[in-house]
Amino acid sequence: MTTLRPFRCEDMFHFNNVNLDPLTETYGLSFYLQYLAHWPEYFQVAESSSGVIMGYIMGKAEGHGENWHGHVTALTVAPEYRRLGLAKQLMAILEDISEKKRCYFVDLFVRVSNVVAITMYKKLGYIVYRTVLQYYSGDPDEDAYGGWLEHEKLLVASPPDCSAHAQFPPHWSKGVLVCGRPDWTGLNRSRLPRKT
Amino acid sequence: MAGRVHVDDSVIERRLRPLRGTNKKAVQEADKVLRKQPALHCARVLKGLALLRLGRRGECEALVAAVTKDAPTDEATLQALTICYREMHTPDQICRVYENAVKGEPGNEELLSHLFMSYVRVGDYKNQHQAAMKLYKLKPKNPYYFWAVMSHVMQAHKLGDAKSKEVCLLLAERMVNNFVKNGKIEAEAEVMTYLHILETQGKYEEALAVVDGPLASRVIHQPGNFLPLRRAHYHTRLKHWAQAATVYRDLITQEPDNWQHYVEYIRSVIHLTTEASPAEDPIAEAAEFLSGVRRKAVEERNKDRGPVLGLLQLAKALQEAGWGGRIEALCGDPLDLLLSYIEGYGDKMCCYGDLVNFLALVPGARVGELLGRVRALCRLSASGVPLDETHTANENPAFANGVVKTPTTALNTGRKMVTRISGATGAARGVYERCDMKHIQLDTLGHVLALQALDTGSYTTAAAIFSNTLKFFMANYKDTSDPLISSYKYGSLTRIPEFVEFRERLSNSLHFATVTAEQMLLDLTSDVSSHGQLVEAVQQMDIDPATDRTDWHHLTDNRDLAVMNTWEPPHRCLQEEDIVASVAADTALLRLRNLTLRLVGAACALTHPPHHHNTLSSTANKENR
Repeated sequence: MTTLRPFRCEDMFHFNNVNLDPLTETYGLSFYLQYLAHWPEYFQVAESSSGVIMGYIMGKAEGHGENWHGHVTALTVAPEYRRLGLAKQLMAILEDISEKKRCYFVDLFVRVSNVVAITMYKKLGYIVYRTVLQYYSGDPDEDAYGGWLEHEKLLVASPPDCSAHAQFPPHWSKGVLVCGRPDWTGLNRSRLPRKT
Repeated sequence: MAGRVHVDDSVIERRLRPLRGTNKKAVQEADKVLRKQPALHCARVLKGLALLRLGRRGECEALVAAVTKDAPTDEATLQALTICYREMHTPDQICRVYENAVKGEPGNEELLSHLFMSYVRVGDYKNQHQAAMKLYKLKPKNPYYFWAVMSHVMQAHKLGDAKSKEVCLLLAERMVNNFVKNGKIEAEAEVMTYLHILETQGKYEEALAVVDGPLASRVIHQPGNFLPLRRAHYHTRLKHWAQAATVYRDLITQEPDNWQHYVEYIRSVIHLTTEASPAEDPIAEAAEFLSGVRRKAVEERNKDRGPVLGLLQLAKALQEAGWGGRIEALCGDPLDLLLSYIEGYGDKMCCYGDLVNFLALVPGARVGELLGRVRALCRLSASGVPLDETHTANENPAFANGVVKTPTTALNTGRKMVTRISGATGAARGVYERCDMKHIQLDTLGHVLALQALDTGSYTTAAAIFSNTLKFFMANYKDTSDPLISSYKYGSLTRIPEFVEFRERLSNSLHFATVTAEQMLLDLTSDVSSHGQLVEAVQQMDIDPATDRTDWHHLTDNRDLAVMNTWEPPHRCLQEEDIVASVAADTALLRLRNLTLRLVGAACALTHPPHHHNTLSSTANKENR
């Protein structure tokens, strides 16, 4: 009963039933559009048979040279459509695309208080790596790109044996809790073979 | 260039640094630098920018225009000029700046690509095309070639008449064909653009050949179902129902919960049936296949709803095609299908939304039976009281209270309830603020409070909402320009028409036009206390009594009217004609408000001959149009 398809601009005209949820942020236009311009395949939406937006995922590929990883920027499901495995399906698309882009792992931040989400990510094979303490600082509105940092504490998911944390900006290293998919690790391993 | 002749770049950078601070300080520092180097372009522009930000637009314009005339080519000055003209809402000037710069250094790839982007910003597709071709001749890189291709596509998008549209698209197609022939296609973006061009022209045979040909191997970053979905879509458009059905059928097997596959599969099968020979029965085959999918899902006990609802969709399609008589034999009793879904998902909020479209399958005479069986399933008495032994009669209300007071339930309902509150503006504003409405929600949900606040005399609330709303719309142009440029840079070329349509839909918003008029009227009624002030205000608003600049034919209703689930019977739900009527009423009101404004403008013009006075907001407004 769910149609999974790429997010389109016009979806912004009726994604309110998802975005009015207190844990989902509505960003400025340029934020969504830059994701669509930069990583269109990473922005997918779940739509019900009657055309209602049930949830969506936004992500990106980060890195340079040979070292790339997928990142989940936002994953949200409207309250009516929770506990149906939607987030899992959306994550599967993002992981699939990350693999196609030859990323080594996928990471994400989540509010420490968001137990439901953390439990879900753990079920999907992610592990908690680090906790960022007192992350919440500065002007909470403004600057859409910084918007996703509006969390008191964050978890980051990424493989435990990766040296990627060295790449995080210094102020994150204070206490980022990073986790990862143990079956999907790799900076020390040779590049993942491309799926055909 | 003048600034770079004698002094080292690092020295200039050091001198320019203080200019990037606060505006007043920046002006002073710029003056200091300019005393040492009066011709330093970048310093002059940065001074202009600081003046602009201090509200001294006239001085800024003079400074910046002088620099533009000198045709600078150094990056720092050009960037500063770009920022300046963007803030002045005159992006076309940025094109002139880079045109001059390119004339000075025709072989400079960087400058030429900036020139291209400056045309992107203003949507000048013809010049965009020329700049891209120059770039390609200078450095034969594929992206530049496809920038030129996409410029043709966008030109087609912009043109009104079908004939010129066709010509532009043909040109674009021919350019790509050339590349294909010479084996020059390299990237996914190029194949996607090719498909887009073919689709726009309705050339599905050719598109199909691309998807089935060697170029498909370039598509590597899309979701797994991308190519099959394209293939099936083209088959559908070409009325190749059998092939379409086969692709969708495979897709269902691979992604049993992706609903679009079911809808399209069943649609293809229904079409196929009208063409099939008497020996074949595609519908029976489909029913068997869907039953199999369902059986498998039940056995695996997964959360997929698609398989459970597939047969219902088939039943619905049969009914709509006039073959209702075959439902029972092929799909089983719809009542059983509905109940088996309710058994699995009745405790989920999605249940109603999933089933509402299939309720028409239950004949009126059997509604009672369905309700009875649902009641039995939920263990409710005929009057709706729970028969659950775990709660005594006294415990029931307490349990219900607990459910209602669950924080998330209450918060979500509260957030959505604002749509239902009218009249009590104070309370409504509280809820509105807790909803934290911002950005695009100011357009899609702005209708819940903005004008109501005005009508109830809550001018502060109204002014606050208006101001945020207008800020959002004014920034639309800038907010959508940069992503457009990014699309060219990162090769998401097929997103460009979508971005442009999105920008147009926002700038044509009925709500935007309404709030603009209401804001002006509010200003005239609240901020003006003398005739002199009135004249000044009207001049600032740039009201033209003779013409109404509103693009009445393209006004769009961007309201999101489906935020809340509705449980009402069909005749009490919001109907399409209600929406049309409300848009008509809002448009009529806007006409009245605009007329009022023009009358005030005309009255002022009679007493004081108008002189040209361009305000920031009115230029920004034009730019958004």
